[in-house]
Amino acid sequence: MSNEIYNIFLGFVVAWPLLLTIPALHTRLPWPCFWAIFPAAVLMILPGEAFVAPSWFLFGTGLGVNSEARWILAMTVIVWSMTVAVVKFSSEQTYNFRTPFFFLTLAGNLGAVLATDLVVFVCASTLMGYSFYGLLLQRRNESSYQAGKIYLIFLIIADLTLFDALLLAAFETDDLRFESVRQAMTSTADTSITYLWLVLIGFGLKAGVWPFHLWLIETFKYSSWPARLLLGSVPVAVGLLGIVRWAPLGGATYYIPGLIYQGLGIVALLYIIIRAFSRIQITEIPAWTIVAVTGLCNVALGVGLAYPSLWHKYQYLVYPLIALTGVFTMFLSYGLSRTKDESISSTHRSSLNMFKAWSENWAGLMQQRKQNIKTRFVLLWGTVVLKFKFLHCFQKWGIAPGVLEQQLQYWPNAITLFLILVIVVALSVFL
Amino acid sequence: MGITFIDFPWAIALILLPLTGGLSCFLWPSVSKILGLVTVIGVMLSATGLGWLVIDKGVYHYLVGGWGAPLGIELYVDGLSLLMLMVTALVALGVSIYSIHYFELSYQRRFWPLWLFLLTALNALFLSADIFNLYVTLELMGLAAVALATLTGSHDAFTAAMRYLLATLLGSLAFLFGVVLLYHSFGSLDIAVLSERFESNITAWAAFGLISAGLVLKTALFPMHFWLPPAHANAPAPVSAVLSALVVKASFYILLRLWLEIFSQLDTDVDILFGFLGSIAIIWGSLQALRQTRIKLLVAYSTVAQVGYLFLAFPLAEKVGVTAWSAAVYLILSHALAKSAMFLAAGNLLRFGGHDRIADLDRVAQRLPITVAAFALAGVSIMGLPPSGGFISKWLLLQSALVQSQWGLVGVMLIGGVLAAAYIFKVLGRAFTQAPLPHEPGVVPATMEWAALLLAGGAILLGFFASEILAIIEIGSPFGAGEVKL
Amino acid sequence: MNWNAWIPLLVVASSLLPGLIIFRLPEERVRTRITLNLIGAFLKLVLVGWMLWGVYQGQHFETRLALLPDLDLVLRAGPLSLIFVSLSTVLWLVTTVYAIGYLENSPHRSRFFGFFSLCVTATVGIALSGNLITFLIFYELLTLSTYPLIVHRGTEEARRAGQTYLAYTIFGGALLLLATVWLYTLTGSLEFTPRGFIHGLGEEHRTALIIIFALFITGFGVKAALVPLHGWLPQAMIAPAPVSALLHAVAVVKAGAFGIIRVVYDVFGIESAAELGVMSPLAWLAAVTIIYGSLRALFQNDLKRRLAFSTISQVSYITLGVAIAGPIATIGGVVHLVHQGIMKITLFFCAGNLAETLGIHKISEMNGVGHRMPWTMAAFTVGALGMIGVPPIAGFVSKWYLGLGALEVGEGWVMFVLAGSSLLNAAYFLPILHRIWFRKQTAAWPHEHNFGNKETAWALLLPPVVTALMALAAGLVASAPFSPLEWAQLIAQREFYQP
Repeated sequence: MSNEIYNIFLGFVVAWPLLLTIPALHTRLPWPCFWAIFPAAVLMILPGEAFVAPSWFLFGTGLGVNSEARWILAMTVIVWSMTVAVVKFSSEQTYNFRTPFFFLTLAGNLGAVLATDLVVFVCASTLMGYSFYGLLLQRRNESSYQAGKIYLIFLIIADLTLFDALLLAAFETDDLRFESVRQAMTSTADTSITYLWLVLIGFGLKAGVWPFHLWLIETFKYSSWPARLLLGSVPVAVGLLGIVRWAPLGGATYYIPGLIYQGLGIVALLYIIIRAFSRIQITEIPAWTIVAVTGLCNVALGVGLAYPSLWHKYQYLVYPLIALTGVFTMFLSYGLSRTKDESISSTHRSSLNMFKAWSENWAGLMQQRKQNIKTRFVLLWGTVVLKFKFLHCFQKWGIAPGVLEQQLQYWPNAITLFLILVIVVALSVFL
Repeated sequence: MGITFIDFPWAIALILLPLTGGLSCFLWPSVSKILGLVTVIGVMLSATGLGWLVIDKGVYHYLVGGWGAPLGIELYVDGLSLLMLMVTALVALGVSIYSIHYFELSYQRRFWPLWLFLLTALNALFLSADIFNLYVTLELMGLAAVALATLTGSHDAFTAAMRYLLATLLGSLAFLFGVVLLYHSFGSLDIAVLSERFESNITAWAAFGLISAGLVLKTALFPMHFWLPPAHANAPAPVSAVLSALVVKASFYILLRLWLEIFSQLDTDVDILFGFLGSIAIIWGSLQALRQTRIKLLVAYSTVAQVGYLFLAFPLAEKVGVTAWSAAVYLILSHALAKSAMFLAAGNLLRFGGHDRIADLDRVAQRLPITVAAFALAGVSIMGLPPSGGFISKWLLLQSALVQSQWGLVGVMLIGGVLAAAYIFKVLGRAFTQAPLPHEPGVVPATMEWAALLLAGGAILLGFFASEILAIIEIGSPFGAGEVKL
Repeated sequence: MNWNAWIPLLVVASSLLPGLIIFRLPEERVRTRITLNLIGAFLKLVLVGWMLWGVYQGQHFETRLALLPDLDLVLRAGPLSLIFVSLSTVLWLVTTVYAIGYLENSPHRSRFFGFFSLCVTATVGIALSGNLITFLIFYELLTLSTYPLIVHRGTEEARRAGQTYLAYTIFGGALLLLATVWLYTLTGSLEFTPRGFIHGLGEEHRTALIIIFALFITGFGVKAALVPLHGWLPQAMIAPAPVSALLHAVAVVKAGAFGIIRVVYDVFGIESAAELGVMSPLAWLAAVTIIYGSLRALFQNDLKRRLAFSTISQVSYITLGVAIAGPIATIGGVVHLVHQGIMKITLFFCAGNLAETLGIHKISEMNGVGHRMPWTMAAFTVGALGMIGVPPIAGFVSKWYLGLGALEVGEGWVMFVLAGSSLLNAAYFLPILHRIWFRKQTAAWPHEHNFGNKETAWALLLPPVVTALMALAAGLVASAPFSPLEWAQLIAQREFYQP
C-alpha cells in the first residue's frame, strides 16, 4: 500500500466514526457500531508506520501510528468490540438516542491513541471526555446525574490544567510533537517542573489516580453497561497514556516529583487494602481495582521520573502495560457486573456524600450568599437614605425650573433683565 | 446666455420679487397659492443666480440707482450673506410647499401676503450694507412675523403674539436708539464707513450696549428668551418653522456683522458674557425642552438651546476667529434647515393626532413614516451627531474650544449634545410604541410630509459638503478683521 | 479609471441602497424585499472577496472624499479592516436569511429590514474607516440605526430598553467626540497609521494623552460592554432574536472592541501606549469584565440574558488580547473578534429557534429539547463548547493565542483569568447542555408552532447549522490560508509590529 493511501486511511479511521454520528447515516447502516470500529481494526493489523500532518489543519498537527501506539490501538479495538458485542446481545437495549455519543467517544478515543502531538491529543481526549458523559448518563436517573456531574467537574478542571500545560509547552517550543516537547522540557528546568506538575495533575484527574479517584467510583456505581465496560480504557487508559506521552520522562531527573508520585501510588494501594477490609461493595470492586492499578502505574512512573536510566531500560513495557490495564478492567467489570447489576444499596454512605452534597448545593449556597449580600446592600442603602434625608429636597428641585421659567416670563423681570444687559454690555468696555 | 445671466441684478430681484408677489397675493387672494409658490420658486432661482455670480466673481456690490455710499442705498453680498440668502430661499421653498395644503382657504389669503413680506424683509436684511436699512428691515421683519404668529387666532396665540410684539419692538427700539447714537457721533450709517471712523467713546459704548442688547433680545438668548417658546409654539407650523429657522437668525446675523465690522475695535469682555449666557442657554433650553409634554414647545425650547451655541462663538473667536465664526455660521445653516423640518414634522403630527402631547404619540412611526424620518433626521443634526451639518459645526466649535483649553465650554457642548439626544428621543421613543389609537387620525397630505423630509435631508446633506460651504463663507473674508473692504 | 478607489464605497453602498429602497416598500411585497436583501448581501460578499484577494497580494483600496478642509472621509481596506468586514458580510447574509424566517408574517418588516441594512452599513463603514472622524461618523450611525431595531417590538419594556441603550451610547459617543477633537488639536491628524501617530508628543502632553486614552476607552467601552458600562446590553435582549444575534456577534459590541483595537494600535501605537502606562489598567479592566460577566451569567435563568452576560465576558477577551500587548496575544484578540462572532451568533440563532418554535425562553424549560430539535441543539452545543474553549472549536484557538501571548510577555496572571473564565463558562453552559440532551421532557412546550415533521422552518434551521460548522472549521482548519487565524497573523505582521 502506498504511503499516500495509508495516510488518508489514517485520517479516515478517526473521521469515520465521526461521520457515523449523523443519525441519517447510522440508522441506515446495518451494524453501525461494528462498522465504526472496523477501520481501526484494519489499521491495527496493517504493518508499518505512518504519519500524516496536513498543513492546513489546526496548528499543522497530525496523526500517526507506530509500534507503541499499536498496542494501545489494539486495546481500544478489543475493548470497544467487546462492548459493542455485550451491549448488542445483552438484555439492556441501548441502541437509541445515545448511539451518537458512542460514536463520538470512539472517535475521540481513536484520535487520542493515534495522536502524535499535544494538540491533537487534547482535542481528541476532550471530545472523548465530553461525549463519554453522554454514555455515563445512560440510565437517566438522579443518581447517575449526580455521578455525571462529579465526573464533569473533574473533567473540566483536568482540561483546564492540561490547557495550561499545553500553553507552557507551546511557549517553550514551536513544534508540539511529543518527542520535541520532551526534549524542550528537558532543557528548561524552571518551566519543566511546572509543566510536569500540570501534566501529572491533569491526567491524574482524568485517569482517576488515587487522590482524584472519587468520580471513578461514583460513575462506576451509577452508570450502566457500555460506560462501565469502557471506563477502564476510555478515561483511565487514555489518561495514563497521556502522562507517558506528555511528561518529560527519561530526560532530566525529577527526583522529588518522582518520589512524591511513588509515595502517592503506595498510599493509594494501602488505602485500597484498608478499604477492602471494611466497606467495599462487590459492584465497586472493578472501580477500586482500577484505582489500584493506576496506583501501581504511579509507582512505576514515579520511579521513571526519579531515575531516567531505569525509564529508558523498561520503557518498552509501558504501552503493553497500559493496554493490559484497559482490557483487564473491562473483563473484570463485565464479570462482576453481570451478576449483580442492581445491587447498589441506598444506605451506602461514604465520604463521597459530602462532596456530593457540596457539588449539589454549591449553586444554592452561592444564591444564598448573593441574597445575603443583597439584603446587606438594601440595609446599607436604607441607612444612607435615612441619614441624608435632605436628599429628598432634590425631588422638589425638579419643580424649580418651571417656577423660574415662569418668573422669566413676567414683564417686569424681563425688562429689568434687559436693562441690566444693556448696562452690562455697555459697561463691559470699562472692564 | 452667459453675459445676461451673470449681469442680471439678482440681488434686486431677491427683494422685488417677493415684494411684488406679496402685493399681488394681497390684491388677488383667490390665486394667492399659485402666486406665492411661483414667487418663492423665483426667489430660489434668484438666490441660485446670485450664488453663481458671487462664487464666480467674488464679493458683489450693487448701488441702487447708481448712488454710492454715503448717500445712496447699497446692496452688498459676501459669502456670509450669500449663504444666509440661500438658506432663506431653501427654507422658504420648503415652507411654501408645505403651506399649500396646510392652510384652509380663508387662512391662505392672509398667510401668503404676510409671508412674502416677511421674505422680502429677510432678503433685504441680508443684502443691506448700512445700519439704518438694517433697522428698517428688522422692524419690517418683526412686524410681519408677529402678524403671522397670530394667524391661528386662538387666545393663546394672541397672548403669545402680543408678548412677541412687545419684545420685538423693545429690541428694535433699542437698536434704533443705538443706530441714532452712532449716526450722531460718526456721521454715517454705512457699515464700511462706520468701521473706519469708529472710535471708543461714551456714545459708542452706549450705542454698543443698546444695539447688542436689542439684538440679543431679538435673538432670544437666555434670559431674554421669554417670548420665544410661547410665540413659536402657538403659531401655525409653517410660521413656527420660519420664525425659528430664519427670523431669530436674522438678528443674530446683524449682531455678527456689526460685531465683526464695527465693535471689534472696542476692547471689551462682553464676549465672555455672551459665552456664559450661551452656555446657560444651552443647558437651560435643553432642560426645559426635556420637561415639556408637547412637541411644539419642546422644539421651541430646543431653539433656545441652539441659539446658545451661536453665542459660544464669541468667546472662542478671540484666538481662532475664522474657525469659530465659520462654526457659528454653519450652525445657523444647519439649524435653519433642521429646525424648520422639525416644526413642519411637528405640524404633521399635530394634524395627524389632533394634539401634540408626546405621551400619546403612539404608533405614529407606522402611520407617518416620512414625517418621523424627517423629525429623526432633523434631530440627528440638532444633536450634533454625524453625518449632518450640526455635527460639522459642533466639531468646529469643539475644536476651537479645545485649542484654547476652554474646558467649561467643552463640557457645556457635550452636555448639550447629550441633553438634545435625550429630548429628541423622548419623542422618537414614543413613536415606536404600539398602543392603539383612541380616535380616527386626521389626514396628512404627502406634500406636507415630503416638505419636512426635504428640509431635514438638507440638514443631513450639509454634513457632506463642509469644505465647499466653508469655502463659500470665506468669500470676501467676512471674518478676517481689517481685510474686509466694502 | 481606477476601480480600486471605489470598491470600499461600493461595499458600503451595497447595503445602504437596498436598505433605503426597502424603507419605501409596502409591507406585503415580501419577494421584492427578500430579493433586494439577498442581492445586496451577495454583492457585498463578492466585493469583499475581491478585496481580500487584492489586499492579500498587496493592492490598495482607498476611497477618499473631502469632508472638512483638512479632514477627509476615508474608507480604506487594510488587513485589519477586512477581517471585520468579512465577518460582518458573511454574518449579515446568514442573519438576513434567518430574519426572513424569523419575522415571517410579523408586522413592520420593511422598517425592520431597512434599519437592519443601515446597521450593517454602519458596521462595514466602521470596519473600513481610514481615520478617526470617519470611524466616529459610522459609529454614531450605528447607534442611531440599532435603536429602532431594539425598540422594534414596540412594547413599553422595549421602549425603556431602547432608552437605556441610548443613554449609554450617546454618552459614550459624546466622550468619543471630545477625545477625537482633542487629539486632533494636539496632533493635527486623525489618519489611522500602523504603529500610531502620536510619537513625540509623549513628553509634552503626557497627561492629556492619558486622559484622551481614557476617554477613548470609556467611549468604546460602552459599546464593548466593559464592566461598569455594560448595563444596556442585558436589557437590549428584548429585541427580536436576529437583532440580538447581530448586536452581540457583529455590530454593536464588536464595533466597540474594534474601536479599542484601532485606538491602541493605529492611533496611539502599542509602544507609545505602553510608555504612557495605560495598557495594564486596560488589561485589568478587561480581566475584571471577563470574570464579572461570567459570574453574572451563572445566575440567569433567561436564556438570552445568560447569553448576554456571556457576551460581556467574551468580548473582553478581545480587549484583553489587545491590552496584553504582545504580538501573539494580539493575534488572539483579533482572531477572537471573528471567533466570538461566529459562536455567539450560533447561540443566539438557537435561542431564537427555541423561542420561535417552542416558545421556550427560560433555561428551566429546556429539558429534553435535544430530542425535539436535534440539529438546532447540536449547533448550540458546538457554540457552547466553543465558548468554553473546548478544542478544536474556534474558541480554543483564541484562548490558545491569548494564553501564549500572555506567557510571552510574562503576564502569568492572565492564565488564571482564562482558566477561571473557562471554568465559569463551563459552569453556566454545561448545565444547559445537560438539560438539552440528558433530561427528560418534563412539561409540554410553552408555545409550540407546527412545522410538520421538520424540527423548524428551513430559514431558521440553516443559519445556526452553517455558523456552527463555521465555528468548527475556524478551529479545525485554523492553519489553512484565509482562515481567520492566518489572516490575524497577517494583520499582526503587516500592521501592528515591525517585521
